[in-house]
Amino acid sequence: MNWLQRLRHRERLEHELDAEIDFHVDELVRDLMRDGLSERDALRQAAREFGYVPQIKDDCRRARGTEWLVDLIGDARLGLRMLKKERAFSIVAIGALSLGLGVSTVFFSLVYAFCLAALPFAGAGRLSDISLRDDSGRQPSLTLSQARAIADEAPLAGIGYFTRRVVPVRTRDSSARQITIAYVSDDALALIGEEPSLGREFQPQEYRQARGAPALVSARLATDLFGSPAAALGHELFVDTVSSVIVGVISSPRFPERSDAWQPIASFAAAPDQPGLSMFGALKPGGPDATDVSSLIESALRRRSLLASGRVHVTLVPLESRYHADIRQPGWIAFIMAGALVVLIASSNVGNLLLSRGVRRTNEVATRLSLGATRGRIFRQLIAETSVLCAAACGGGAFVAWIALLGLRAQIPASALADWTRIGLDWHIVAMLFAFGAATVLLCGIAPAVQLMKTPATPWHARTTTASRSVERWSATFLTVQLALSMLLLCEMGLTVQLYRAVSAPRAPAHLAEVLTAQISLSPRKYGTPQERSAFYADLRDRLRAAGLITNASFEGALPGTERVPRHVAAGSIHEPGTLVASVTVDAGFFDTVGVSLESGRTFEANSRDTDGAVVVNDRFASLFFGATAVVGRQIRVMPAGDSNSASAARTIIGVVPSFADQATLEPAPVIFLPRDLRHAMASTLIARGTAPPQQLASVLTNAIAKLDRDVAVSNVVPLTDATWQAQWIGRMSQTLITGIASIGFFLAMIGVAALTAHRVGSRARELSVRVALGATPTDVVRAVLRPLALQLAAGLLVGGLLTVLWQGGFGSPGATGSNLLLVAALVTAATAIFSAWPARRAAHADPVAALNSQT
Amino acid sequence: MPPAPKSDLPQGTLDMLVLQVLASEPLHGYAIAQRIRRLSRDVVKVPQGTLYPALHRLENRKLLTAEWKASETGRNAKYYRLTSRGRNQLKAESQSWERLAEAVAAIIRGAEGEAG
Repeated sequence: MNWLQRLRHRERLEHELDAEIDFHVDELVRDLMRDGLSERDALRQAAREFGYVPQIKDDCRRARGTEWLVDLIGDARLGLRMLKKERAFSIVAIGALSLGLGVSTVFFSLVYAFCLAALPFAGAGRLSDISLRDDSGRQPSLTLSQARAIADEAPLAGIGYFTRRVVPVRTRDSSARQITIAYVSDDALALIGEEPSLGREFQPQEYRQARGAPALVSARLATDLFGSPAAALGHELFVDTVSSVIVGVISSPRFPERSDAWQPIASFAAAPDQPGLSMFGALKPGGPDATDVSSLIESALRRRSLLASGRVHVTLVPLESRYHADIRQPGWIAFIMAGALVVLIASSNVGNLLLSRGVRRTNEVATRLSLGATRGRIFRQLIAETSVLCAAACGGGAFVAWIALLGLRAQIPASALADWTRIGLDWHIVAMLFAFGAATVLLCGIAPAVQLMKTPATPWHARTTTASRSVERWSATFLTVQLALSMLLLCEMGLTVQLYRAVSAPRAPAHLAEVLTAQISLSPRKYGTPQERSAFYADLRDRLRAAGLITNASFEGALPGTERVPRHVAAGSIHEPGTLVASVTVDAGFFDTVGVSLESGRTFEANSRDTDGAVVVNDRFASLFFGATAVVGRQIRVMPAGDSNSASAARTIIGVVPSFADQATLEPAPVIFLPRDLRHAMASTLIARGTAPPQQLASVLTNAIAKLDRDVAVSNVVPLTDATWQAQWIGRMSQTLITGIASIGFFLAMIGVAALTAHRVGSRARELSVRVALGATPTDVVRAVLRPLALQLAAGLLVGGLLTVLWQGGFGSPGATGSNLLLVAALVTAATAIFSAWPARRAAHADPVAALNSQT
Repeated sequence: MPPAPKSDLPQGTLDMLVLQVLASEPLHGYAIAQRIRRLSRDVVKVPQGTLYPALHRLENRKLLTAEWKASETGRNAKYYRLTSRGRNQLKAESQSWERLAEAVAAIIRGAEGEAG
């Protein structure tokens, strides 16, 4: 019988033990009586010879090896009874811990999804990402000829490469839509174990097929185009205007980067020196390591003259590090710590509640001690009670996390994550939740248990020492921690919300509600030359205007405010190498379309070659670099970021626009606007302004494009405000998270304030009653109750302020302004006053006679 | 609470005695106590109750198995039987004990010789 069976059959074993001992004693009595003793003497003699039965039974139970578990279960049952008995305490404590554990679980789920989760295929650990890196840390992507050379020469067990492109696809009957396709090399899919769930893989000869190669599609695309994954098999699909047959459907893609379809790379119409390839390979077991392989590859590329610069090197890093965020980054560390802070606040809160409850239980503990319970036994019992509480809170935390993650997932656009990124509760997360739960037992349970364990074994003595200095000290420490951490979180929340609002509400006088946006992508085959592309955009602009309702249109690289490239700029009083400034590339019609009027000068001219040397700046740039806004005609020099030594291009300022608050700063940043060359634009964000609401403009826009060329893919036709809202999901999610944790932390701290004040009022009832009886006014009583709280508030605010400054220095977040700190300090003070007012007021209006009678 | 009876046996010896007594036949607890007493000619006085924790410990270590069956008086009793693992354990402990007893005896003889 193993220990689990012994535990399960405990009652039967107890009966057997009783029967066994009874048999022994009866046999002994019988023999003694046979030897001539009377029954009474025989019984007495047998008891002497056998020994103390309860002790022997205890020894037998211990010999079973399950007694500790039985004790534990008993303690847990008692803990449950205590929770049921003190419902108000249980609800507050479990609620507080559930919130703390739930929030930290949400944070850990995100950290796990983005930094720790293994790539979703077997053997991911043996794959390395192969890429180029120059001396300044930039990573130029591989070209097709470089990839082929590496595949030929690298001493690897397997090698795969791919490039992703946004291309139009359509069926024979439908209009074109924009998808992301991955053109893959022979072994790329096999190396990561990607297999179609329906249909078949590519056959070897299909990897050499330049035109009409088959395609694999994701179940998502198959359902969108044909109604179901199975219905897509064998259908014709025009990929970038070329007919292809769907031979397989992949239901849960493991491909490292999000893709809707896959084709052999031979069908990718690109020049051999066109960059944009990603590559990965499997090291040979026992073969050269990553450093040796990268050296060999680099030598091979130099031998074939495929590495132009001596400053560019080949690097091999584990594939997982390429697709995972680095958990050591300050941002992620701050993120993890923010989650841990909420657990700390919740634990401090529950620690305080346990201390208060402990004061009420001193008589019970003293009585148990006087009846023979050891202090170790009392400690174990109290820790078991806290463990039951924390286990209940883990369940509550899992529920809170589940709800919160559902809400967060709804904020993340589906296209923003790789197919294999999973944000949710899996066993890793649940294990972490229980680890947090165990940590909270230590954080909040040990101090109250130690405190209660010290209770004198004489109940009358215990009663007089209830409000010991030690309890007060612990309570004060817990409260100070809560207030300080709340202040830190509130300061961070304030800054995050301010930043998000600054980004999401541009200060420029733009009327964005009347603007429509759409993503368009051209077929690389049909628009292979700059002239063809330029002609398309000019034609489309004319057609949109001619169609009526649309008055302005521009073709941008990205949504306004979502893409900025830092560049060194030397101008006015700032000489080379210059200051880093955000640059935005815009089409000639951009400012008119978004409704921004120039303060001076003019904007770029469509199809004009002279715009190559032109630049538009915002007024912040003008005042920063020239100290004035009248800067039209002045010259500036613009150089790539990180390479201020490269040849700089002189540009003439042709116009000045008002400042946009379109990046994560509280103050408007200097920005330069460079002209977008549509001759090289295969895909664009179309922005259109009209005389009708955006919804009515949508059909005008899609019809005009379809009439011009049905192979041009149009997608995400939505008002600009909606598209911007979608694009700002990271900022929005950050704001939701920080607001959530700061609010919860603050709320928990205020519960702590109320609980501590109520406890103090309770433990000082006799003293306060005597004061009232001696003539103290209600104000005097309130003052007496709140005075120690004011000290802890001051300590909490001071520590919180210091922590905020340290946090912002350590994690590089924008510095807290003095007004921000003052505002948060005022908020915490006001809330503390409100939450402590009720118990203090109750003390002030208590009947002194009744209070004194109840204490005697 | 009456004081727990003390055993005269050296630590750990009781387990070996129980195993030895059970080597010949299965017995219940009372019979084991009686047999130890009789075989030692009343020299080894085991407080009879202390036998049961030892029996349960040996059973949990799978050195003994037990079954309930009718005793000589017709009443059901729990009979313990040595397992093959228990037999091996007994062999090892007996050898160890004999070596120890010889060594102790040799030391005592030697000490008496030097004193004489």
